[in-house]
Amino acid sequence: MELNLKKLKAQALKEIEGIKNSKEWQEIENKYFSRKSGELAKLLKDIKDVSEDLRPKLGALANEVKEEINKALQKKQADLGMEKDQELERDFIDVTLEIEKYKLGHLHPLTQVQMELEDIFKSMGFMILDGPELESDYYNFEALNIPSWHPARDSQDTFYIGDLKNSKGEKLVLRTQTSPVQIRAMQKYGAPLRCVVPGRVFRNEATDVSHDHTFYQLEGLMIDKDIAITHLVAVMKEMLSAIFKKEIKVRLRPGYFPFVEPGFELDFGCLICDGKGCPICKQSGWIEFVGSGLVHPNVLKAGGIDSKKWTGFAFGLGLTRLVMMKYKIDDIRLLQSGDLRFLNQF
Amino acid sequence: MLISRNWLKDFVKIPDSLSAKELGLKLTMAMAEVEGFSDQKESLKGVVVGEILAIKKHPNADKLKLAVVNIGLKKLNVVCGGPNIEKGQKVPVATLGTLLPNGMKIEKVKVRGEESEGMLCAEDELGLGKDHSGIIILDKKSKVGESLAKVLGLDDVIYEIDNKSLTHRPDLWSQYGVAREVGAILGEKLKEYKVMVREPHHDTKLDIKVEDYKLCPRYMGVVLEGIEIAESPEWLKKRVSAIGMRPINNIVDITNYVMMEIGQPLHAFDYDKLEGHRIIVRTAKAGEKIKTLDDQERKLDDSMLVIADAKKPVAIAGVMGGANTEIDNKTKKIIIESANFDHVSIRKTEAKLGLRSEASIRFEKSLDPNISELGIKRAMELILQVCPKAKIVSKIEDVKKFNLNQGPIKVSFDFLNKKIGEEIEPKKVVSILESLGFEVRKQKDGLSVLVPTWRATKDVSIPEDMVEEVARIFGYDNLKIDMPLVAMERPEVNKERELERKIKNILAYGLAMSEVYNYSFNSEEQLKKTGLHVESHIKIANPLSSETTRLRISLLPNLLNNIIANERFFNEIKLFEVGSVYLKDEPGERLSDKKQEFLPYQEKHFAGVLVQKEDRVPFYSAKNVVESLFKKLHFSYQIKAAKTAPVWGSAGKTATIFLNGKQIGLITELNYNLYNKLGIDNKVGIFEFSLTELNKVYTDEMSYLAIPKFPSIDLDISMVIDKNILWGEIKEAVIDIEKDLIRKVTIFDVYQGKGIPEDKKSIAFRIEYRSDDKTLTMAEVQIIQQEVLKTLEEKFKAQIRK
Repeated sequence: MELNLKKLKAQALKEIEGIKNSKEWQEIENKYFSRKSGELAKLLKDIKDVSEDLRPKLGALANEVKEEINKALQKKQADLGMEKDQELERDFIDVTLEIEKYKLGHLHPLTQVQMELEDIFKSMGFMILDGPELESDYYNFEALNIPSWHPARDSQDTFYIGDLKNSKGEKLVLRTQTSPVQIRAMQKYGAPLRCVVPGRVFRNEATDVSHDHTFYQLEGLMIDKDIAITHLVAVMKEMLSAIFKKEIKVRLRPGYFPFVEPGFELDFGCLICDGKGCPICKQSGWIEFVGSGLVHPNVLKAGGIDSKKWTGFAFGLGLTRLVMMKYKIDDIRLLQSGDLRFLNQF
Repeated sequence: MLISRNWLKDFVKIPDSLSAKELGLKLTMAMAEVEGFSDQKESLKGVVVGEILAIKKHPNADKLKLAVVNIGLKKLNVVCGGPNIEKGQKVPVATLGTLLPNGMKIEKVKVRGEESEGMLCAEDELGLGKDHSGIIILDKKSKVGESLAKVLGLDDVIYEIDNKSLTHRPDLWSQYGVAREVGAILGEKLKEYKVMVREPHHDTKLDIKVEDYKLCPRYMGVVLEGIEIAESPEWLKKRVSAIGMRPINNIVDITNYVMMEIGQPLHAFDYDKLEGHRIIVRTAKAGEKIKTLDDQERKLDDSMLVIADAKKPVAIAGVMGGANTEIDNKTKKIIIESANFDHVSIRKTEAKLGLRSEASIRFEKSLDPNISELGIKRAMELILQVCPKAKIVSKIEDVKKFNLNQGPIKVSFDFLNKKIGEEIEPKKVVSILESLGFEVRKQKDGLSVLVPTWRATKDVSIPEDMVEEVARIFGYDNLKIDMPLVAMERPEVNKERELERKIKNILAYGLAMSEVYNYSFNSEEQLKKTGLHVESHIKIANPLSSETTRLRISLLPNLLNNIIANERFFNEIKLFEVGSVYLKDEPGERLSDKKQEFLPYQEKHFAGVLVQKEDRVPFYSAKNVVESLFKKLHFSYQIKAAKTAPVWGSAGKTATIFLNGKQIGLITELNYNLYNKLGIDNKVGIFEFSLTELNKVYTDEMSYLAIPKFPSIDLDISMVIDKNILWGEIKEAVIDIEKDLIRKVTIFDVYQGKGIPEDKKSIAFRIEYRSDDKTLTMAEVQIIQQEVLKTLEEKFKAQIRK
């Protein structure tokens, strides 16, 4: 028995010495160490049959043999690392090469930002609505408390449709704002109401790096019982924090829009300088971003909603402007240029 | 609109401790946006009085001189180009390190080889005016080395307020109006606007007739004689130029001064030039003309209000005076006009003439007729002060008929608090309103508020207006914000937008297309080139350029432009767009909720173009995209070979897609003739669909098909047929033979050319036979296969290749 053990050891060490690659190493390891059929296992089984007085001595020896074979195997495995290098040599490819087999397309940055905003508002219980881009004078102006003599019409240079007039002789317009959908939404859904309207608007203005005749706005409207200024500010703060993914500071100051009373400009604390003042915020620490206010009773009336029972707030922001801020785009015209060198970056 | 801090201080106390910036911020937060301010002292920092000790010629430049200037502590050598400098003059010297208001920084430089240690300044360089003809020559008595701001008494701060934020506030187009706000904001008392004028003499008669009081609710006039037209005194010039007006002469400057101070535009006529010494306020007669003060001849029409004498128009009411009665150096006797005109009429006239003036900008806001009286009296007071020989020779004529709605407005504290969202003490509410000039009477639970005349023209008329007044002066920053508490509700889903989003995501992230946004416009030239009928496109009445004359009815023309723009940079172009088209002849949404009139129908389309070098039949690329998209959307649709193609499409390569029997879109290739015309090099595959129509039938329902339990048998067929027979028809015919067992028919080869007759093609396809109930045997399959072959031979005259 003792002899057998020694023989096994000598044989094993010899075989291990002769191993040339990892496959052979695996075979030898299996040959000796397999739990069921391994040589060592077999011998250990035999030890059980040896008389009790011899057993401890043999057991110790067996363990010693096992240990030594194991050690030799470990050493061989480390030595075989050299073979790995050969494999590396043989299978080498340049993993830094770029290939363009699978390609992705690109969603327009306006789409991406709009989707993000829609999701934020949906999560706050707002409907996402659309409205016609070619609008009537009534919805675009009149119903929004902007009669024909109103100076607010001056600041919104309007595209008119020549040959399409209503029975009053008023020309149709390309909507100058998404606000007409406020009225359409009120007429359709009544109160309470929560909706946002992202969409395309038009101004008949000369274009340059920061002006285009076509751009995107997002309009919002909330009508419920006892809606107050303090609610408006809180919802705007929540919205902006969601857009910029951090806690945003806001401030409210007087602003004038005929369809709200009172009307506000809502600024948020500049994210570039953290409110200390920088060229982006023109040293003020604030960025003007949202026009808002409590819905004017005339507008509620046009929408068929009783202003004695319901109040609401409305707001509007420049979706195009947000996209430009987010991606630091310095020429608005790129957005509708169709230039793939621009679009493929998104 | 410019506001002078010094001028404000005539009417309200502003503590010196309140910095220029702080006051600006307070106005922005409670009144209207201050776009910027200039602190004169700050902007002239580094500019001092210097005395010219000597002047030499510049050795290398004819137009330059070398001056030695004493600035007290130092003598500087300065290179100067000013033609008017002389030895002994006192001049403004910008010392080294000074940043001038025009942005120039003064550094030690060599000018044509001669060192210059500073700069002698002209008016424009210091932001004091527009003059650049020479260096400012200062008073001889000015102290050398003293700061220029101090010497010129320039210690003002000028605020620029955004005009747009004042559209609804006629009262804020004046220094006094802003002073009132400052008083309310700072809690300081506003001084009363007092005018001291002697009781006028009555020997000259001034005949004023107003024909339409709606257009001219008030017209005041007074005659003064003994006028000597001259330059204004310094204080007056300084005031008007501080807020951006060019000093002209004493009378004009006074009328401007009063307009800026109280907001009432005035006009001075030369009395002697006024025929019949009469003033008639009437609408213009057809064909009448007037040359305005800016030397332009203006054609008038009967919608415009004019001021006329016995014979002719002498001013366009509220907009601009006429040259024919303009005061000049010989003027001795004048009429001062202080009137009020209807804002709508003013705006219409401005728009028609393309003319706006400081006066009309104010009138179009709807001014308070009551300030006409303050304005005329203030002007008289100033004229008497500035022209010592002047005398008032008529009574102040006052022709008027107006009625202001001053309320009172009833407003409860509960209403105010609910709208603001915070409880504001009644005492505070009252003091805020009173500080703004409202007269407040306490009632049970609320107030009865009388609107001051200067806010009553159209600005303040409803209780909601009180909310704004109280909240803004209380300070929006002082409100504690909180989220609204409302009933939980599931928002209604916008199905069309959801579908649009799905389509966009699949096209971009599944089918590797890039999304573009194009304008809604087409140019007529572009439409003609593309072969589209121009008149089917809605016409813009006032296009910005020839590019924006028509509204699109298809997304395609602009997508083609995208190809043209991108083709030289990319070998492969795959673009799509989702957007509205505007259809002239179909009714869409309503024009208003009251009338049965409709807008043109507007629907959303999605369209794509595919270009790849060497793609011989991009139609198939387009079809591949469409089929993949519809598969992902779980749409089942019918595809048909179209008998007619759109004008820009290729007649032989157009397929129409039907859903429930309705055509919703098409797939085609660009018409052969257009490549050259448009300048497109590679073939273009095209698809365009109505998203709106698709959405009408779209549901996202689908149920999965069980995974096959039994194996299938695949058999191939290869055959030669007429080249015009459509695969779709063959496939349909094959499947019809044994719907339950023929599970799939897949084409894998189409060939035309060598070895096949010219009017034939060879096709090869595979039929998959499978049953859901058992394993089919070859014998069973062969029976069906024979049936298939027979059908192919009989129906399509196919020659089966064995």
